[in-house]
Amino acid sequence: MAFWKTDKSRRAGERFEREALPHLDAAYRFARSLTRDAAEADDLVQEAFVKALAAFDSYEEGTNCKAWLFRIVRNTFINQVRARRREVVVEEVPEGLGGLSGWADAPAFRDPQAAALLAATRQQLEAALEGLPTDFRTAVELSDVEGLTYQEIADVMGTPIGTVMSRLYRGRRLMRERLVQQVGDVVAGTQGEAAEGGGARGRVLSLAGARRAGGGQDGL
Amino acid sequence: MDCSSLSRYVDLFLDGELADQEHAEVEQHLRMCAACRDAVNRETRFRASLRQAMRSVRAPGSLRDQVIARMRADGERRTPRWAHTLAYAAGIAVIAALGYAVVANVLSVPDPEERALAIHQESENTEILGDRGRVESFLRARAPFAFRLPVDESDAIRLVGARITRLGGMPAVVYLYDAGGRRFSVTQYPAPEGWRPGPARVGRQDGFTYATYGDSGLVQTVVGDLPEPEMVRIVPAAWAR
Ligand SMILES: [Zn+2]
Repeated sequence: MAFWKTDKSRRAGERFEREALPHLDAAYRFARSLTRDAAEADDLVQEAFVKALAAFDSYEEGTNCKAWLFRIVRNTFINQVRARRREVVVEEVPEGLGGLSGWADAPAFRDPQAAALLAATRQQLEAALEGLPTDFRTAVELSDVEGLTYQEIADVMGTPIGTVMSRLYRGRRLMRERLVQQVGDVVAGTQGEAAEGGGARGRVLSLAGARRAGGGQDGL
Repeated sequence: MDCSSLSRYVDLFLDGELADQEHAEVEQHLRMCAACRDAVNRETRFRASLRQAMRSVRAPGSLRDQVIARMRADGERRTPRWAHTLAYAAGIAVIAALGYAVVANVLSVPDPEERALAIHQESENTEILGDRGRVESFLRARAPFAFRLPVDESDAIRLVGARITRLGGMPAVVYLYDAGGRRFSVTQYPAPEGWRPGPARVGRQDGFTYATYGDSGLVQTVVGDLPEPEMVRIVPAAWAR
């Protein structure tokens, strides 16, 4: 590009554009998820990209540039929050979802009720993710949406890999429970209205189904 | 491996985090067990739909422009005479790439992302920023086909630049317009084989609105971060439905 002053900054700038800029959408998604606000996400991404360019020497070629950028986005976010002395909300983690030993009660992945998940709309998917405690949500998004490995997520979040696995497990499970319930409501409600007797009965039936799918099943 | 131990490993399996040996054992079980196979397929589909839904969130064009402008301003801090043109130049690169993705779809050209990057890289010296007069004289000297300014300017719509590029081996001109602070691009190219003139085709892709229209000589694709009604207003009356 003709815009760069020196050869050195030109080369670094071009490499940055080639390697980092394609992840702008992903960085923005992550920023939206952290800030939960479009304008704040804008500011966060801008600041993070300026920092990332300045620190581009520390990016190891051949590693996942997206994960490297995410780490900067998250660190920048934490610094912004601290600088604004925003009150940090302590999120309540739902009880009864198991701790690190969560692998013992496996997800009910063969449950036919899980088919309802496939009927979820985009809005329902978004809402289910937004309803998760932030750390769970981050783990689920970085894995399921952005395709990072456990180790990369651990690096982004600054936690041991075991914590990532636990957050992923619990986050995914919580999200699915909520989705099955929501989607079940809508599906059953529609059927109930079509049939005689209105939506009320369908709703009750579907809630019973959701409970069965969500809490009652331990493994297969 | 039995069904119950498979259910414990299924997340690790789908996340690609199992060691080769364990991964092979899961695959072996899935070959034999239809119930687990169905469940894994369902889970895979669910994850794909989640990924697709969430990935439809894209950075706004204005943010992209700002990030690029700040990056370049950073590299060019001591010679700020370029600064006022940077955002426009960045806009051309980005919107050309977007236009390409849509046009590639219309024309079924493979690898739009790769091509978009290629546009970005190969055409940097063949672009112009400026008003209609400058753009026209630039294109008269260099355009590889008989170009025609694709959109009528008005108080609300202003031509700000153009670049010459290629789409899957075909020459094309990308025009950049400003509509009240928002930008849209028009990619113009000779009508490809099989092109049928007709009313503008309007649609959405990757969070952007596009409209394709043209006669048997020239086709253009308008791409922008604009609501559909505004997009329809940009399309010349002859091509509107
Ligand atoms: Zn099985």
